[in-house]
Amino acid sequence: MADPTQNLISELRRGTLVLTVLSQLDEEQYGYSLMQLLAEKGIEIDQSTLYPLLRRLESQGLLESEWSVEGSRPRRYYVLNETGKETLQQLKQEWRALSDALDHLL
Amino acid sequence: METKLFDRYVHEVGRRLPKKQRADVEAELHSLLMDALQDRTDEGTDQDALEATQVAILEEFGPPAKVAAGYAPPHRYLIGPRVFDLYLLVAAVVAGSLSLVFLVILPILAMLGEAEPLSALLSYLVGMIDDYLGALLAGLGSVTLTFAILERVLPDSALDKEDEETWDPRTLPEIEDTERTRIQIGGLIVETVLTVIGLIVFNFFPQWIGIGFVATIDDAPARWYAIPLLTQDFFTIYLPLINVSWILQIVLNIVLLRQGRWQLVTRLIDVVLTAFSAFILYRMITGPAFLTFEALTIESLRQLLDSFLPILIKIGLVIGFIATIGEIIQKLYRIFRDKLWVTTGLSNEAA
Repeated sequence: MADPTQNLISELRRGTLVLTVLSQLDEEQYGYSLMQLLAEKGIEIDQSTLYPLLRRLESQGLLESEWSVEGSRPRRYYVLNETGKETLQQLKQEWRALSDALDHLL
Repeated sequence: METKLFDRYVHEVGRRLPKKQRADVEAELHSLLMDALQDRTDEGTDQDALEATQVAILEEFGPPAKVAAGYAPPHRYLIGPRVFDLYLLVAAVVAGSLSLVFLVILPILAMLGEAEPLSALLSYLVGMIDDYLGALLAGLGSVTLTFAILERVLPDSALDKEDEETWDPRTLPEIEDTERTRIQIGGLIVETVLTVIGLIVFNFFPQWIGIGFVATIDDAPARWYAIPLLTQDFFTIYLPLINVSWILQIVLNIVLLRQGRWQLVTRLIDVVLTAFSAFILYRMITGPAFLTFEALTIESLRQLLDSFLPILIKIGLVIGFIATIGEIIQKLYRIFRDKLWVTTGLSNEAA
């Protein structure tokens, strides 16, 4: 049986996933490069979670993507569109307000 | 660089996705896997290390079902992508069967059988269209409701029983195996439609099964007569067995259409079902008569039919029985020829 504390931590992190991903997509990234970028900044995301999430964010109209054949193989690059940028700003504000409030609580 | 394991993995993920997004996701997934591999190996990496790295990468990704499920938003559809292709198929089978019965078979029987005025025939046909629309609505509604309930009741893992902890990428089926064990989709659909029609006719319209002829009796105008031939024993002894056999066959066909290929378990079930059909034929040969000509009112015709038709039918059944036994042997031979217990196994049934 999974450790309940670990489950809660996973759930907490899951809630920040969209903000995390959007925050790194003001410049074009393909899936693997984004995963590495996040890992360098201390955020580990399962590949099986990250890649479908990129698709979902695109289908929700927050990202644009296109195949590029530059490099050793074709890769699909994702980047924020205008809606995505606006959403990111709103999520950032919400995060900061929430973080401040939680700091007071904790 | 040999990356067949990746190819097999991508293929397994792709076959679980709706056709519309399959090719694109497959291409991206393959590219991402290659990125990960390139990051962890170099030109000097030997084949064993290369395969071990692929296994490690795939274990990080997780079972194909998990990855495929990630690409589908959960429970935002009445009928989600997991079962949507199958839903379309079953809906098509039901609609096709009903259309065939109501738009082709019944009108032909009506035109052959009725010596009524044209107006009466037209009125009958219009009434039949009304019945058809009602049956179509009820049939498709039942299918839709069933799938909508399935979508919500089945756990995510119900259609794919891979265990993340024990999943081993090396057990991914070969793409060639997939080709070799591929099902005949068209044949299965036709068989399913015909079986559904058989079920409907034998259970709800048994009066249609009999001898049809045009005759003039007692100076009345010539008209179409249909004489029921099935005995009460047929309905009490044989039809329940036939129903079980046909329903199981439909279920097996749907499972095969869902899985997209033969596996050892489905091959064995197919053999068992065929053996069951042989048993029914055997019972019909040796058991109580299932045909009667009591309803036949034209004496001469009755005598004629009574004298040779039962013999002819028994000969037909014996031939059918022998052919069915031959089919069982052929199916068992295929299992041994393809060594299905090696290529599919019993443990990775849902793979």
